[in-house]
Amino acid sequence: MPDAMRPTGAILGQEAIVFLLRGPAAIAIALVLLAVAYAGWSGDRWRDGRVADLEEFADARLAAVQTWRAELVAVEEGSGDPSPFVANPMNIAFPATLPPGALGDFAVGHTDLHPSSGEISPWNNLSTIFGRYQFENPEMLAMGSFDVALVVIVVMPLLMVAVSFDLLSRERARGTLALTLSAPMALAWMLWTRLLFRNGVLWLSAIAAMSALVLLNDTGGDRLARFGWWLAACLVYGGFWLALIAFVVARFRHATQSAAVLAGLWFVVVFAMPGLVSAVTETIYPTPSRLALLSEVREVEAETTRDLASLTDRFLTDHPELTVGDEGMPAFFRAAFLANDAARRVTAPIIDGFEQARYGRARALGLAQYLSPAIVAQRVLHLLADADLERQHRFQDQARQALFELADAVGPAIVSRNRITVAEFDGLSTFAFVDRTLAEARRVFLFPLAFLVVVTLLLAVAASRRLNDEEAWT
Amino acid sequence: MIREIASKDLLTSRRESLLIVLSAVCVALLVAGTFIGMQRDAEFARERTAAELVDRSVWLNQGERNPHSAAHFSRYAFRSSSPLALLDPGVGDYAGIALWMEAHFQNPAEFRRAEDSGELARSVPLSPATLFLVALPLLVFVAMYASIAGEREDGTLRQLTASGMRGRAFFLGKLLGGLRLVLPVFLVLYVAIAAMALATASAPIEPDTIARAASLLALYALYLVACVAIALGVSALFRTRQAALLALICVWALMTVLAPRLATDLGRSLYPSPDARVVTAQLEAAARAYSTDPDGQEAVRQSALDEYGVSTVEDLPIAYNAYVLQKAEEASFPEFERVFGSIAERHAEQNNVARALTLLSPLVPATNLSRGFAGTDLAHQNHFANAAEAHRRAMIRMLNEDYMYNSGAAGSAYTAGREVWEQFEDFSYRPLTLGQAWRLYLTDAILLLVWAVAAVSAAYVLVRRAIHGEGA
Repeated sequence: MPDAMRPTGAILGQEAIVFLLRGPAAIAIALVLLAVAYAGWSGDRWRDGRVADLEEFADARLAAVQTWRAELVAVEEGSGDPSPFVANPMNIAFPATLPPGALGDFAVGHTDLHPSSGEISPWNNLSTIFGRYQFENPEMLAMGSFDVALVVIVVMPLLMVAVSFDLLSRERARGTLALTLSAPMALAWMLWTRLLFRNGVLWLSAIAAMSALVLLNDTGGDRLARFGWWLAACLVYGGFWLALIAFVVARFRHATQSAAVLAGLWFVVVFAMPGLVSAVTETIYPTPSRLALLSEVREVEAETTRDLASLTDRFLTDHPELTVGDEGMPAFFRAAFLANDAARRVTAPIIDGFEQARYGRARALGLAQYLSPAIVAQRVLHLLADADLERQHRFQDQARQALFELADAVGPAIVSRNRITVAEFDGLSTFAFVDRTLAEARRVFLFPLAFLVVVTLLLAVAASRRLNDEEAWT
Repeated sequence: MIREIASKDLLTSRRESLLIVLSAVCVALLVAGTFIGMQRDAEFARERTAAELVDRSVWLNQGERNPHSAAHFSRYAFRSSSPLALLDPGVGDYAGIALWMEAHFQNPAEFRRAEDSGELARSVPLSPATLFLVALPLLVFVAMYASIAGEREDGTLRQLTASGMRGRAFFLGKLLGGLRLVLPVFLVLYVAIAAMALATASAPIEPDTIARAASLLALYALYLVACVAIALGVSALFRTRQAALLALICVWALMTVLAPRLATDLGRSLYPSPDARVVTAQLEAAARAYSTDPDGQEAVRQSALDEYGVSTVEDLPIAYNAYVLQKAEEASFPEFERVFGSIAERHAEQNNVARALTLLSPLVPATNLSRGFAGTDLAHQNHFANAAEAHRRAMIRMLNEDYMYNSGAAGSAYTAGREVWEQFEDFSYRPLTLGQAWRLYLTDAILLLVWAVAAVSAAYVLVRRAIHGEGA
């Protein structure tokens, strides 16, 4: 019995089996599974390595702090070495770390570029707090990671196009399209069924692979809740591409045209638009020069060394409650502290400039993201995986704030050449990163996701209308 | 015959509306990328010049000071941009631009410009090199997917075969058609951007800069020849336009997006970079090489006594403290070289994994060559860091020697002033020569050449097979 004479449901069922067993679908499914598995393995190694390094650093620093405290207790009890180098408040150094997020193995994002640890110590200033961390291979940083977010944002749409652009080619090739249109089943229904089946299989493969990663690499916390939202974002993004493919297939008569147009749209949505938006926002909102920041710090350091005596006098005049302690305390302790204190003041306008540039960029990107669903998807997925830029800045800001608080707490003792008491030390707070909660993250991404849903629905309606317009097809 | 086939293909491609739209998008991106790049380069040059001036001024005006105290304060080396960075910014934004040349310590270059980039900066760098190496192949594939497959689908290949057309002529006509479509456009764009890069370059134009630009031109052209041949070969593999287009889109995605990322990611996963805190601890240990080696300290004391023919340190005609400071510096050199050597080795291992995956994509060697010729690769960055380290060692030695020979009775209270600080030359850096860059990337050049030759040969075989298939 020829295809055109058979019930359409049976044809679709047969097609589904053929689709699954051969052709690009089997390759596409295999590719999805391989890509997610590799990205998951790579992300897991990355996250585990980062966690181990941070824990080792924090443990070592906390042990050193405890040793420092024990020395202070001994000095206070009169049994310790009274040397000015022992239990000197300049040598307090609390660790500050930024642990990977609960879903950190799903997206590397900006986490490999920015510092994830620092030392809250009076020895440090704004430009030294995060230590020497620039040892990563620049070639690797420039290329970026092959993570699960990349698979979702870049690979999945391409595979969707590959398995979907010829939805009506069979009917057209056999010249049975007009006959199909005369069947009880509308063309739109047939197209949507095929589209949903083919892409559903792809996405089910991806979801299964990602779910396996979530369970296998479980790190607790709110991982499952975040993964739930991750899946929702994936489905919204996938839904957009589904509707776009339907729209293009309905718009163009030939599968070749559809494929070419979809490939072009993929290039524009996934690459051209994010690249352009990034370049434009950075041009409109440039950050201040880091070299200018460095220059300010250097000038202040030089001035402090030259004018140490007068700066010390000025500080003590501002703090009349202080009494000068051990005269044998080397001057370089005071000099370093006063230089850092002055650097904090003179670099404040530059730091403000960075803040303003960040704010401007974030606001511009908040608007420009609607130009490309890939931008929306990237922002949402990075946010859920805690791999976004804002979290890096949040950590850096909190670490700097902690540094200032410590300097304010121990600065008077350092300049007046005294020790702090054990009680004062115990009153100091160690650094604890205040992370963004999932609820806060949700507030950022819900509207963009809702926008994508609306665009998806509009595209789907337009595609359906076009498909229901029989004249356009005959 | 060859010319007729080429002209016909050229005409057909130029009528493709999608190709025109995509070309317009790419040209718009190229223009935007070029102008934004020019602005960034100019801004960077201003920042660096200002920082260099401040660094010099602070150094000269630091006042009276012990030379060793000045050595601790020291100076910064600033990396300048390459004159061809506009064409390919390479890894420039991901590598440090300033290096502190302090006493006792070899620092990594810090202040990576990418850290000040926005949320999307790492998605796609909008540079001419990206567009030539990534976007242009897509245009080639979209323009050429029907080159052979279309002839087969329409039955014209059978007609041509029946009319006695020779396979070699047909292949050359198709290849020429593809090259005539892409190379003139590329050439015009490249020359325009290269001219702008040289005209607006903030960095000094080196004697080999023009030769570098010519090498880049040859590299991109060879890469595009490979892309045209790939398009022709894949088109010859399929009987329908649809299948050929789908295959070419997949090839493009694999070649330009997935394979390079996979290659670098695999390199990093198999050879993880050392933790920064661990490296810092190693460097700190290296800086203490002298102070933690009692035997070495004794050897230094004995060598000082032998050198000056005295029996006690107090009899030395020099400041022994400064002598020790210099020896301590020198004791750290091999340790620093070991630590930074192991980092460079690890980076090379990571890059070699990527290079090993060249089989998947000609973009990997092409990218390496592009960055190498533009002077924006890791090798140039390491060369800058090594030059800065050499300068640091010379500068610290001069300061220690001033302290050693001139402190006299003042001892550690000795101070020097501006007349001493002025004796120090500013750090100046000459990048690798083109010859050195060629030697570094000879393997990549050979790999790319092999890719191009293999792609053309494979395309020739596939086109002939398609013709024979139709003839049969």
